[in-house]
Amino acid sequence: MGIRVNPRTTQKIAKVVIWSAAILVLLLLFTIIIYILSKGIPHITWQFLTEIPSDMGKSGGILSAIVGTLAVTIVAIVVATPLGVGTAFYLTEYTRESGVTKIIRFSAESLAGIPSIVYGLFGFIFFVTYLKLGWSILSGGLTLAVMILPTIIRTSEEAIRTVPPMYREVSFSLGGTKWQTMTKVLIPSALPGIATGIILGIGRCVAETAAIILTAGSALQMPTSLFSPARTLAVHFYILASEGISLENAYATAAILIILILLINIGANLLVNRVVAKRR
Amino acid sequence: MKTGFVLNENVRTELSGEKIKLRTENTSLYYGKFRALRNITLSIKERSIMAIIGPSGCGKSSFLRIFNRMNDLIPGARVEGKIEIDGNPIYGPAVDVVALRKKIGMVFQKPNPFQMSIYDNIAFGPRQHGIFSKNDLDRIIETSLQQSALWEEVKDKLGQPAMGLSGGQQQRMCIARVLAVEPEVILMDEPCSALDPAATLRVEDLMRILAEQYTIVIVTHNMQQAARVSDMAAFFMMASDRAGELVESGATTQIFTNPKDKRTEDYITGCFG
Repeated sequence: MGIRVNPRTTQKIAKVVIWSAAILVLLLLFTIIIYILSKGIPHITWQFLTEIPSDMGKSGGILSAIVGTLAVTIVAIVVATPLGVGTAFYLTEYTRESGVTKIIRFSAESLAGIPSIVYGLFGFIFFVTYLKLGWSILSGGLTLAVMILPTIIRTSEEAIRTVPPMYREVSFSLGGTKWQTMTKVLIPSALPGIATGIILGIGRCVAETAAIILTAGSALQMPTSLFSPARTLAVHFYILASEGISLENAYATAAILIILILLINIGANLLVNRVVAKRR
Repeated sequence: MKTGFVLNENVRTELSGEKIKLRTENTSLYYGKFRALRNITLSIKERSIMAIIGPSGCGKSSFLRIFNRMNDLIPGARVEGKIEIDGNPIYGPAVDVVALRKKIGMVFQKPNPFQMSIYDNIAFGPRQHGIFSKNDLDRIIETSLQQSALWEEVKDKLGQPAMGLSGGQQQRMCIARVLAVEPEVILMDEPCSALDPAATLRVEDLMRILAEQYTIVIVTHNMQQAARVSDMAAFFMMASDRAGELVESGATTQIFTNPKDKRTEDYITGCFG
């Protein structure tokens, strides 16, 4: 026979455990962020933000890396969003559960679990070498697009499934076509969920190193077109730190990276809230 | 037979001279291998209210959804037999489903406004059919809301979320949303089952008014409601193989006071169901 514990005591213990877990996680997160920001921010100057790196990154700024990060991420999102959201709509609205949908879903799930270096290798073989795109923003962006596709498909699919089925029926019963139902009812209702997937995708793109080094290269100069090689902030940070070039600049780069991700998240949230608020 | 039903005095019992709007002949509905409805033959007259009554699971809602082809959305659903509006087939390769659904509107069991303003909810249908001018939309919205007896209550807050209305107001707004696409037929699938008695009476009054212009088919569980509002009634029941069958149809006064079939009488007097 087990020990009898007063339910109120269990409740108290559970409360303490749950609170400690939450506080511990918050503490951990804030420690990392504050540590990096405090080490990095003192080295951030106007010059650091507006100049391209010189002397392998020991001096100069990181403007080309900022531009490279944004360019690669934009290419990835522009390619992956329509493909991912389209696939999600195909899976939920345009087809019935069958062998095909199972294969698509299984492939997407398998893709989500693959380490990014494998995507890098694929991107290197397919985009860089076979399609002769070279080490470039385009190769890097396309590789990242393939990498984040599963996330976008999965989150969009979930978001579309949570739209009340009744909305579809009402739209159809008023004489709406499938396209109108999709664009006027389903997308607006599922938008916050779809946006979450895209934001997660952006986060992964901005943070990626291995796949980028293999497909976009690590050039220090300012990219001039989609076919220019480029270095992203994460890659720059990785090289500065691992090759012992300049720890100060590595921290400063990391701080910028964190600030950039914060800004993207805040911006995306504001945008979604505005669109949602407009519809109510 | 003596029943305690209050029959509507305005009900038109003599409908024989009027035009038939909807008609089914030997219509069966299948969900995969399961036969949900068997050989239903029923005519619904123009500008009248037909009540479909019967116990749960006898296929009333499925029957209603045959007319605007909402069953098309269910995998494996298939119909047999003749189904016509104004003598034209509702099913077939030549039928434009979008145009059909514009002609045959539907009010659902639960009030289901979109998460938009009242204005945008009602403008939803017209916009889908290509009406975008502010003047036209304003006019349509005012007329629809007036027809659904909601205009006075909401005219100053058209821009507010429809979710903020009471249940009864939401359902009348949903009726306005249907009226805004200028249908000829309105199908109502237990439109009052989620409403309180006062709101129910308002919707019923509205139905009597709408019946002067539109053909209404209403599915209801509420016998009193069927007696109060409908001109004609059809009684459905589940057969032993669980397929829904039409037991009897006719003028509401006849069905409720002098049913021909024993099963109808049992149901009406509350012996089962």
